[in-house]
Amino acid sequence: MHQAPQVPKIAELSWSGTPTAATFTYSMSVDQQTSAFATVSSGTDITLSRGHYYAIAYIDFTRTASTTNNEIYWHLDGSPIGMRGGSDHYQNESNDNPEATFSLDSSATLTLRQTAWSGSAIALTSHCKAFVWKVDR
Amino acid sequence: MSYSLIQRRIKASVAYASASARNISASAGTVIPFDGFTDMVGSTASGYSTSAGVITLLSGYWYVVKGSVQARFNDKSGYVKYIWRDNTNSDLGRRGTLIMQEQPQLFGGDEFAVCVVDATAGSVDIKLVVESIANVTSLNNTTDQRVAGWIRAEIWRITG
Repeated sequence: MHQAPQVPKIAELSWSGTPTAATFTYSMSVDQQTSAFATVSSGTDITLSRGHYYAIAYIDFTRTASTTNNEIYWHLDGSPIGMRGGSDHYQNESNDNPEATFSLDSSATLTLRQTAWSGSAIALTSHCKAFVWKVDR
Repeated sequence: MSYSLIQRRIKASVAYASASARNISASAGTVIPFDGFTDMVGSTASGYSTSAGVITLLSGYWYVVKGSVQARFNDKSGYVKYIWRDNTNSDLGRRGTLIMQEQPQLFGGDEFAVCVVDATAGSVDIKLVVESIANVTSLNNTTDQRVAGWIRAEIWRITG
């Protein structure tokens, strides 16, 4: 069914954390949003209500060796969703930014998680930002 | 950044800013000399203005702005980092980093500098500033024009 174009809601978030294991959930905090729709609970969980969404997380990091790499996915209610991101800028094995498009009939929890690593953590900088877009459904 | 289905059905006007200068010598603090605008979606380009690269975002809207540069490196260790700043030189959003995909570095990040700007209460001046740079011949370099994307910034004006 055709739906008329809508004014999107956009949230800018910062993400951070130092993984101590291959799997790790990053901390999230809301920097600003065009209209309040995203809240963070337990430091990591982005609570979203019914709607259509697009989420992207931009990575920025330092590392002590170029072989130090990781893999990052958005997770929706605990399950991975969308396209893989990561820090491997050499072997081109992963996209830089995890991205996901999804629709919700009811509220759900969005998290950003490291799902694999080379054995040690990259160091995230303050330039790690995520943007979540929403339109109503 | 790709465009998701929801971004194809939203009320937004999109224009891109370009810089006509070529072979720009840059150092930390250089302001990217944007001086032109072209409509992509809608017709907002004529409403933007620049002065010495500083872009004025008109009052009454939220904006999403993404910028990246084109550069020729002296060698494979070359890089450029750049970020949007306001007229008080405060950082906006996150920086972009341009490096060679094939060259492992001890740092990295996506090439887009991205920010969300609240101009609902008044116009806002923004500029894309070189944060740090090394082993770069120049920006908007003309040596390999057939593959040059030039410096670009997308400006999404969210219309209510």
